[in-house]
Amino acid sequence: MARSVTITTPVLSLEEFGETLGISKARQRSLNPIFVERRPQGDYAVRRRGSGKASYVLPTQKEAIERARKLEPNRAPIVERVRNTGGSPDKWRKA
Amino acid sequence: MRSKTGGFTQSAVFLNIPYDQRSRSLYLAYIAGLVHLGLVPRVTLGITGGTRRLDKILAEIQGCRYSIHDLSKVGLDRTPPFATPRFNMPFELGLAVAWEKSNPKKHTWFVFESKTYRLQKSLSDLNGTDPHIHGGQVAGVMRELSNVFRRLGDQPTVPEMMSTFHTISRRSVKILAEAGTNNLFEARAFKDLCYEAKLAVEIARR
Repeated sequence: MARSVTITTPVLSLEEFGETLGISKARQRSLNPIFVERRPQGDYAVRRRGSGKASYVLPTQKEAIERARKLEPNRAPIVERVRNTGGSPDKWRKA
Repeated sequence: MRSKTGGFTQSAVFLNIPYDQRSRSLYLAYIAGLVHLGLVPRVTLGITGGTRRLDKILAEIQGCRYSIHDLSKVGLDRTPPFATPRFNMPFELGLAVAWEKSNPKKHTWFVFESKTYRLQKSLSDLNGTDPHIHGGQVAGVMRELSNVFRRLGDQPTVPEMMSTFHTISRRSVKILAEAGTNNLFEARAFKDLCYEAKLAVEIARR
């Protein structure tokens, strides 16, 4: 008979997972760039790729990009295109 | 509750699988599937050769709550100077079996194969334990991982696990470029692939 188990241990958070793998915090940041995206409310969220919660919410895209650059000076944030360029949403650019 | 206590990690899975380019897809499938199931894959890629290698492999097995032993590539290796079978994977399975026998609450091992009934010929000592047959297919690996590891509540579906597989397959090109290598079977690339898989899972859950 094939073996199987029921897992009861909690799922690690992204940070705990990276730590368990022995990946440095700097490398984790490098693998997980900062995004700037428009929220349905019309303001702009600054957050890491795998994070559900925004690090910051700012009223304009310009302010959000500036904050993202302060958070990660050595890596360009990835910014959601908000202008309607040919009717294709979900486009991103480096700022 | 933290699952890591000392050198032992409750959610860690020791992956005893072939490291060759022909098995690239299966390697990525195991990483994507296990991470999607909330587990932490571990491999021997960071372990260097020498007399201490065996001790380190044993320590890795002892540090993992589970181990997976994929015996689908146990055929003859014709690489010069000698054509020989590769004994490492069945040998490591033997270590895991012995470790589980003496510590049944600390370790559980699983055998994966690509062909039905082959294990009965290649390793008849395991008769009575059916291997998980993946058929050499990525979806087969995902299906069997889901059969092995049942998570209470939030069990991912095979299509969700396939999506993570496709994501890390795409990302592997960049990971190799950043590591300055074309070999996915290196310690750094392995860690990056695991992290990318975890990121993909987190993004999909948002």
